[in-house]
Amino acid sequence: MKTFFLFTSSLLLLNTPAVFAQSNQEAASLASQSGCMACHKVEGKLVGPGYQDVAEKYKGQPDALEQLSQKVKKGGAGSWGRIPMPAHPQLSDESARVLVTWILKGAPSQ
Amino acid sequence: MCRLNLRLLFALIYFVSCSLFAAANSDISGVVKSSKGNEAGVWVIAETTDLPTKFTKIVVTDDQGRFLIPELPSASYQVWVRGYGLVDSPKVNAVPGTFINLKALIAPNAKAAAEYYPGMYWYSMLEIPKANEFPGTGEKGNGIPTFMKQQHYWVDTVKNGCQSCHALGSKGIREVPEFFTKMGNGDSFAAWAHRTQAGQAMGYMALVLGRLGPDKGLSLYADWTDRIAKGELPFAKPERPKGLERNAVYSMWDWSTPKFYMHDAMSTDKRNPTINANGLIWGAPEESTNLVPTLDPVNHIASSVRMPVLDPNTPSSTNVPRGPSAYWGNEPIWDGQSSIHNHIMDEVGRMWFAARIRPVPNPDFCKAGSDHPSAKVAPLNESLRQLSMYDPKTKEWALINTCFSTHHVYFGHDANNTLWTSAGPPNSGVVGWLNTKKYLETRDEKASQGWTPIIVDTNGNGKRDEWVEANQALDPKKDKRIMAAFYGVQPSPVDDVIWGQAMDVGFSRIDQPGYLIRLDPGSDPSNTALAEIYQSPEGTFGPRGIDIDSKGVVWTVLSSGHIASFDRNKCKGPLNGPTTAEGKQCQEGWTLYRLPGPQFKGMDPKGSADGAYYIWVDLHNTLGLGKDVPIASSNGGEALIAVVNGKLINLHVPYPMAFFTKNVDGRIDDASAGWKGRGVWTTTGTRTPFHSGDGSKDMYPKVFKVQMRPNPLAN
Repeated sequence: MKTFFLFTSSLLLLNTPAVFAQSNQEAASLASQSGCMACHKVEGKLVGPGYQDVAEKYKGQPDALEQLSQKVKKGGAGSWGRIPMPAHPQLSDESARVLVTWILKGAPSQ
Repeated sequence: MCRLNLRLLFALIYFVSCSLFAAANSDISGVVKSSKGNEAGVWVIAETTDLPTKFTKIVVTDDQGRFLIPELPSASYQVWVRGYGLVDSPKVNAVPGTFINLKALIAPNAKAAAEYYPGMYWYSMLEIPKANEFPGTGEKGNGIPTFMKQQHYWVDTVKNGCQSCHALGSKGIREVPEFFTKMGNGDSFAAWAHRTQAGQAMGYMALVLGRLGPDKGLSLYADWTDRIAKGELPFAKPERPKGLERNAVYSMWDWSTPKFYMHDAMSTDKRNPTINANGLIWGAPEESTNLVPTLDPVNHIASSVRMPVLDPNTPSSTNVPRGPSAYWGNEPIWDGQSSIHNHIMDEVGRMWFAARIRPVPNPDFCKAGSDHPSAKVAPLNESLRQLSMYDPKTKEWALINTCFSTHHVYFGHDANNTLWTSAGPPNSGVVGWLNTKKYLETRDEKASQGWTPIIVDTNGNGKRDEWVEANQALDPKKDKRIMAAFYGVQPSPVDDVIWGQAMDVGFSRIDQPGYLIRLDPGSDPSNTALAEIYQSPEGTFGPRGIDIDSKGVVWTVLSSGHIASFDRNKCKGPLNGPTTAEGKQCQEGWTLYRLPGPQFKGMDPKGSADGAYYIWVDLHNTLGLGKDVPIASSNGGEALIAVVNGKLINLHVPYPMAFFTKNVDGRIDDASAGWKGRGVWTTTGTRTPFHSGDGSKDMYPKVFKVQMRPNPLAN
């Protein structure tokens, strides 16, 4: 019974908005700490495209997470004009996925 | 009898000329001639690697091409000639005590001659968007962001964004390394994009590009270097040193390492420049390292002291994103946590640093709900940089946790030895200080610090009241806050007032002009400080740096290409009340001095393409050009520029190419030794020393000492 209670509590916690809110905040913080926000804004172009534009462009594409995580790590050019996206080899695979997941959601702050 | 008199006259002439040119055992002297005859106003450079650190000394030839390099340490030197209209002469070996004739080489063509021009002669070829392109119409329009409302916003961004760290126009910048050209597949726009992503300042570079409009900015920089690569040359030529400019003696020493860079150097207590006579020079290595470099200029020894941090999680340069460098590849060459931006010496030789000691979030005593008197007025949640202090006698550091951010630091003239600080960027919106007397007695950092918002007395009742915020309309019953922090700060030597300077749009990135700010602290500064703000005259813009002469006249430099003074005593109208809310009063208080050299094409010729990082007033005649002489650090002219009796003296440092410094200070080592006992000190201030000279990974930051002789041959 005790085990069942802990299990269901965990499920509830995983599905509460508070968990996602914390996750979004952490992703936003990671983006800030990783220097992403020097080139990107949530809305509109800075040096690179706005995150909401990225989310819109890749909406419904199942391989977007993998594709963009690789682009964050290795860099790329041509998708958003002439300015290349530099490589970020110092980011772990996990961090890159956290960032891209958040970006594909439209980079919510909460 | 007549013949005898003629002989006497010739003997007298010979005696006078010899005595003017009498070299000592520690001098190297001689004459510089080219195929055109004696070369006046060219530089003679002597350099040695025989000493513990590389040492160089430079003088200028007189009107007969004669030179005398005085007071050389015993060593073997390579000596050569550099000058406008020339190419470098072959290096010859010489030791002190010798007389050598040097053969200068006339430049074979305009291109070869232009290689020795200061950077501004090259970067003035950069096309600036025309005035009618502003306000920008954005990404889908002309590529200039809509928030760039006027042309000067763009110029101020180039000067106080790009040029504040780089010797624009120098060979290392006007030529794009093949490394980036290859990365961009031969496209110069893409090469510049990769170039601005190189190294650990990538984030800051992106920030500046975002302000210029990334496509617009990169296009114009690529166009500039493309035209140079195709052979376009500067449209203006510099003049050789003349008059007093030929009396200068430049000494320089390597310090730190080629990977690191300096923001400032400090030699003494500005209030009493006899402090630390002949002692160590101290560096401020900003983001590059925690190793504070020192130079013993007497024994030519460079060393360093490591600054600790309070919290191991203090942000580090090693963790910031970076693109590959043409010089350093993927190596993160900076590892600094301490972010030492600026420093000052106190009356017993202790060094006080604007330094980072911990992560950004502030301790609770800084925040809302705290009982700290300043937090009650203006709670602060974040601080980007705090304070540290090093006592060379005990070799101990103190790390001082301030709530406010620090950027520049200067001591007041009060009994508490108050250390006044600027914040740099406007984010905090406060001015902070540390009562160092109380701090040293109690080590209580919380009780020893304070800060105040900047409140203008717009209701004109002469006292501080409730205020409206910067983005709110004036209220006749209230005062008004301005959302600026000090960038430059300087306590007045004539009264209790603190002067500051807030940056214009290019640096501040807020929609507010640059100001000079007069802050009268009052009896309880957090609650009583009142500010007056002053904008520079119409057509000028971009104040940066501040100092005050012994009469209370304030000096600054403007990114419109001027040195400017502001004398509040000349003001005729009211200095408080609603008409002063924008700082446009007292235009009559300003005097402008145009910086030398060309202007960008299509821009007001009353300004100059040159930009200066800071200005310093020589209160005690440490340089030898007189008391109260302001000295600007001209980054485009690669010079120190002094204002003497209303005339500009251009002290161009010709070697290594791309002299770039942010500020100076002056010291008197021996008041009885005339010019030999005094001098002004500074350091390489570019973030990329490896762009200097011809561009090299072997290029160390340097300490520079500048002295003024009574004539070009004095020893």
